[in-house]
Amino acid sequence: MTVIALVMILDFFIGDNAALAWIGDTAVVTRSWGIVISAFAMGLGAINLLRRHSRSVLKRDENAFYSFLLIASMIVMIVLGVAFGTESPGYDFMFSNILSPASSTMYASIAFYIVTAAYRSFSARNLEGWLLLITAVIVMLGKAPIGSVISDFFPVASTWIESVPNTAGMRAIMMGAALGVISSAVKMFLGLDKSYLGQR
Amino acid sequence: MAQRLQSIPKTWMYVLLLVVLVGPLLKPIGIPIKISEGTQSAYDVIDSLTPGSKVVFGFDYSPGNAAEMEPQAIAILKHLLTKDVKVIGLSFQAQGPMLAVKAFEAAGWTEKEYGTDYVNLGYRAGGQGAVAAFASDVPGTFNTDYQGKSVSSFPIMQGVKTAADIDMIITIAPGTPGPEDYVRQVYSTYKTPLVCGVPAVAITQVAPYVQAQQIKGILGGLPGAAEYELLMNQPGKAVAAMDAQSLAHLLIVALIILRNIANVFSKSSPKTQSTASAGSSAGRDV
Repeated sequence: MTVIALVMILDFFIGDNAALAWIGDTAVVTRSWGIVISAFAMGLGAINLLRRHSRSVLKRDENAFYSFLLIASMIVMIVLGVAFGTESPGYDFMFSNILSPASSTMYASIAFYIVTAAYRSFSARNLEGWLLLITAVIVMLGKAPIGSVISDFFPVASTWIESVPNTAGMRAIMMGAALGVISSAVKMFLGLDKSYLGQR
Repeated sequence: MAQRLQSIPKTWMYVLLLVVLVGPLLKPIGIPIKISEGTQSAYDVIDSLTPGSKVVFGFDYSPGNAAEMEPQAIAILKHLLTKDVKVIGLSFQAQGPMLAVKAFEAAGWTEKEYGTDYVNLGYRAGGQGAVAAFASDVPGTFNTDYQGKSVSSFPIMQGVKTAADIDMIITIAPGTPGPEDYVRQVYSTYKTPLVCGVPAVAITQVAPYVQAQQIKGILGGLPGAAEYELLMNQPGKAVAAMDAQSLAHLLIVALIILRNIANVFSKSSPKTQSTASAGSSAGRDV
């Protein structure tokens, strides 16, 4: 772990130093291992999903029908993709006419929840509530073409909110998270934290 | 009255939203669209590409958010087509390669020669790690295209070893891996110019990188795509959807204002105080 970590860190700093090219080569190989492991993890996830939903079908519990649909869809897509390729008419039909519209529908339905959620949530009862409400209205109008039709104030104010207070806040969060990641990584590299191996 | 405004049934709100969304799609109003700074920068930096430049195009979105992301991808691909550049399509999202096929087709790239003018390298698992691997070893990470053909047989891939051999990276990404991962793993080491398209909700997250000039241009959501279509003088799907989005935003703002006016009136009227709070809690169950 410590050796791999050192190689990956040094790789960032060595640049085009020919004498240390082996470090760069080792880092490249290590990264390709990462891709292979990730691909296996996806396969493992698929097997786990099959096991979990097969159990649900065999037990005939309340969600057995949905589990059956999931398994059937998964098998059909895998067979079509592996046997005939992802450019085959069958795979393309399933992707374009079932997967894409179904996914888009799920995503688009969020709009309806946003309307009711905004109506319920943006109820100003104190100063903070009013500040949130006013900011939300400015950004909502500033980010749609209708905002500049009503007044040039909305796009200008919306851009200012995005680039000044928001960016300042985001930077603070990012820097804080980065420092946290560095300290955790150093603990792992030095063997002080072995929780990722399941140890305490 | 105040009490009623505090607890508008959700069905009414859904119907109103449906009307303001479908109405302008059937009969466009033509609300003028202003070009934002991020979209203009993205357009300018892409427009400055010289013929023959090699551009990596990351189709890092999925069918779920394709409605918002695909118009961005198509608008930029149409622009790249006019610049006579070479496009290397790839994806770090499992469903990206199929979406890349559709976007290349919609933008007219299929009339160009596959393997020489453009290529679709497919998907690689691993998220940010895969982005890092791609940056340090492009042909090693994507050794075959999405159909399994060896990339060494494609003229477009000649001379491409690392991200330093690429003139620009464009990623259309709603999540991770996305622009932030490309900044960390590619821009920080290789300084390859980066342009991105993100959903409207992700603009705030990417804003620090845009301000730091690590990202040269940004398209935000469907408005970004609409602005790009206008800069190209080719109004498409995104421009058509802008009226609907404007009216939907207006509806949400109107509902929020109505709710708060009702709150103020119910507070000032002692008679309705108790009933209003009951209505308010009913509203919470919507």
